[in-house]
Amino acid sequence: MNQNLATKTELERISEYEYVGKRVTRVDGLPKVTGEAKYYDDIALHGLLIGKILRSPFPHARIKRIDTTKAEQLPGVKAVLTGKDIPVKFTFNYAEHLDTKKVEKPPKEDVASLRGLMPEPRADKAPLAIDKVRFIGDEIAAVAAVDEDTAIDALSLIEVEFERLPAVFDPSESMKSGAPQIHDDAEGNMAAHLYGEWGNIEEGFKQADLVFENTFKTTHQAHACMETHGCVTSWDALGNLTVWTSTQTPHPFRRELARVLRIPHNKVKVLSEYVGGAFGSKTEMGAYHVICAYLAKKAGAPVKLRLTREEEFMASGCRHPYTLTLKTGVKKDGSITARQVNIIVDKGAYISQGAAVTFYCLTVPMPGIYRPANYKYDAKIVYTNKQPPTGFRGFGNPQAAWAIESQMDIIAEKLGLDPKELRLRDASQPGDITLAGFQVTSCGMSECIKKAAEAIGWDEKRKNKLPNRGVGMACLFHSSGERGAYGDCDTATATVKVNDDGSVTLFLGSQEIGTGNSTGQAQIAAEALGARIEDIRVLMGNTDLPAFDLGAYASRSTFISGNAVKLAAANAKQQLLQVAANELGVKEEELEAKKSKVFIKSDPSKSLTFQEVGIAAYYGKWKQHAIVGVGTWDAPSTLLDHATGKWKPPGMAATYTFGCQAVEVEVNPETGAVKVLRVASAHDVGRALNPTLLEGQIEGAIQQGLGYALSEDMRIEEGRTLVTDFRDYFLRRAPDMPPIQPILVETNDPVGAYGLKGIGEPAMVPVAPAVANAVYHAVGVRISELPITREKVLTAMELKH
Amino acid sequence: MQIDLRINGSDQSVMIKPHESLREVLRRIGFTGVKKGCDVGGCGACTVLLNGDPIYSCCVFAAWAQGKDITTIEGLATGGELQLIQQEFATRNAAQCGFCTPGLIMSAKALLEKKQNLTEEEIRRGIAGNLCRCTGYVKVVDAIASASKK
Repeated sequence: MNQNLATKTELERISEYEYVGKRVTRVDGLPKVTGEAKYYDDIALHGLLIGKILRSPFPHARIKRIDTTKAEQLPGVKAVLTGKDIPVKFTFNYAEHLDTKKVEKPPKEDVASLRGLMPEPRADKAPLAIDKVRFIGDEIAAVAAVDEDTAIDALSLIEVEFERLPAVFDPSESMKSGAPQIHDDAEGNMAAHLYGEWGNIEEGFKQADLVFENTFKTTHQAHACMETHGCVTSWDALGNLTVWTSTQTPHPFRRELARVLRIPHNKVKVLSEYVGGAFGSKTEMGAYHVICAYLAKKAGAPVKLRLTREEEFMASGCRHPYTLTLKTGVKKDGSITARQVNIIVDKGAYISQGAAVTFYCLTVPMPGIYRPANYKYDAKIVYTNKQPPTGFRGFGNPQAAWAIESQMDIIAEKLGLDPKELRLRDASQPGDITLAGFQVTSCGMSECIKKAAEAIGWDEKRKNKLPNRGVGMACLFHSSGERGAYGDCDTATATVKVNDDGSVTLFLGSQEIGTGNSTGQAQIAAEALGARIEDIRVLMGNTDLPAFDLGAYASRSTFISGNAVKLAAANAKQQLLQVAANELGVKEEELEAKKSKVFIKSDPSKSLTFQEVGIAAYYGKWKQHAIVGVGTWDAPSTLLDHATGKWKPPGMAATYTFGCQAVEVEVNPETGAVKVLRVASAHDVGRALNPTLLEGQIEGAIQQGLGYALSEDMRIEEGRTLVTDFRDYFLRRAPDMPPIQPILVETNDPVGAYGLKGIGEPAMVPVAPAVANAVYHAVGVRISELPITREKVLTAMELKH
Repeated sequence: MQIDLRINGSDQSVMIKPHESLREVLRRIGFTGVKKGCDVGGCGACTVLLNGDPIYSCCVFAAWAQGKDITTIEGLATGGELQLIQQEFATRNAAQCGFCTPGLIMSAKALLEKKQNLTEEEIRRGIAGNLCRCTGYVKVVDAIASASKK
């Protein structure tokens, strides 16, 4: 069965698409280029107060006393809060009320989805510290005042008496007996321990001709969204709360916040129409959300709480640093008989999404890429007195790729194989089922490898190597969606309304975080309904809309919600055609809609505009009234089977994505500086719904990937984040970026709407190891710890000589 | 204290605190297209034009801008008619999350005012003070290059 190839009839049909595959202009472009777009920080409300948070100056300390009297007496201060005012602890999607001892668990389906490999979630974070602080930046108290200056002054008037406690910063030290205990209920500072074996690892190593064991390290990368985290909260007289914020997950976030506040979900309205960058950092409720809601309640006035850039670097999450020891057994032909990985995750002070990120790393890319026959894993997620990392574009996959893809080149060299050839031999193919139980359907991995190699001039540059120049490549395996992130579902609901003038409103549950999702959804709606795209208005980022979605994570938005929108549009179209059929005196089957017109297929001259149909439906005699189509789609994916610790196909997602990046670098032998000369990035996108938007995703991910590879490091020393602003955190600027060639490989996915797949995260994944492999090709040194700084390269080159 | 500011061609009398930055004052009186990405001149999201030159408005005291021509993103489109550089940004997907976009457009505007047919290197150097986390700058450079040729 080869579902990889589009059938001829399918291709013919595609050529008839009005909007699918077209470079449609973004629907949200104009508000962004005029400055009209309102982000949470732009919201102006009468009497809006400014909230500020007092944060811990110590990595580990007991709070012996807090006195807020002086702060409360300062003119202009309207509310002061400490831990005793918010008796709750929470973690991602889970809360525990300390006053009633009531545990607000997610519905049992949610917990069940994680059981087996994942530990039960444990609420370990209080919005404001109750007894202890566990990292520099931990929230202690908060104020709301008439302006920012007063709020800052008030913070300085809060007296806190600390008892300093010994702190631990290195996870391998933290695991040792006698290390300071960070949470009372986490023995050995173990936040979570994930382990398992699929196949027979010992047998796998026995079958191998060669066994490789290498250790790789990654570091703290900041999401560095241009818009910092924050929100505006406002309560009304009926006890309804409105939250303007910047979130990837409006609906689950509403649930998280409502649970903590103990109010019905319909009393919380989340508004998040514009999100100034997210990349995983805005998937979960933050302490600041809870604090802001409580401040507004106590002050009896709306409050804005915006994290400063320094707070953002200190306490808003980052990528998890991993130490990975990867042991791989291979046969002489390059096939992988065994892969064993041991990971130590530097979890920082709170677990956040640490277990979920590592779970993804261990179950998706690790056993998924290059088809290992046997697999064993052990990951210790260890608390330290540092800022807690969270989910970040790739969700554990960039760390996996850093180890696997670096080691692939080590293996290729030993086997005397070209790295491209080794990857082609081990590449996933349509019809594969991974060790985790993931069914590979559409798959363009081999084609991606070939196309990326061709674009970079691989064969020529490997054969005739120039001094200090090198080419390297790396691949990726990712999912489109993730069943089990919330419950036994991976779902979206959308509503398409044809208005009384024939214009169309698309109510979207899925979120726009800058990727172009809302534009893609408008294209799908226009295509499926037969409307002109300019007649469609997209409404999203509002939990009061008749729509639902789990959020913009796991490269799922366009893939999952696209099918919901397609169904909603088809449903609305059916109602529309019914009215038109009555008007025209024909049967529905005889009609078709295109460009906001309904016409008789056999005689297109007989037609009605959507406007005419709208008038007939709402005001005519056909008793149709409103034309409202609702579409719900749940991915045909599967949950972890607890009995086997694996999935039944198709696995965690309904489809999987593949890609290959090739880079060319030049290394300065005097300084060790790595200059990336060009990047070719080939991706299996299923169907290119909108090539311009896809290119944008790839190009932006490469900016993040090159930063991860070369320069981005928050440098946390003794628990203190040394980076405080962009002058010492080195994002790639425009002159630093090499030419990028995005390559879109179309495989026509059998499940995605019009064949598409998710591409939000993938291009971030293989950049760093591709650069490391190119550096090795250029100057013969292997850098195994990120980032690849000039000091590391120079030192390695000196050691080699 | 009270100061007079000339913003997008109109004179306004504004009450300010002596230490307030131009960015804070502009945002407070409604020019929220001036974005707040950091506080120390590191990201460029708050870029406005002062007598035609791009500046980080977070690093300039509002009082210092008295008597100078201030142009914000809100001042570009007149009568609903977008300027060429705005059109190019919108049609070429140069704005993704859009947060850095106003600042980038202001820097681009200043570049385009100075020279036509900009080279790619000139464009990249000209926007080096503006960070973007979404686009990898590819479509941004495309948009400016295209505007520079028209």
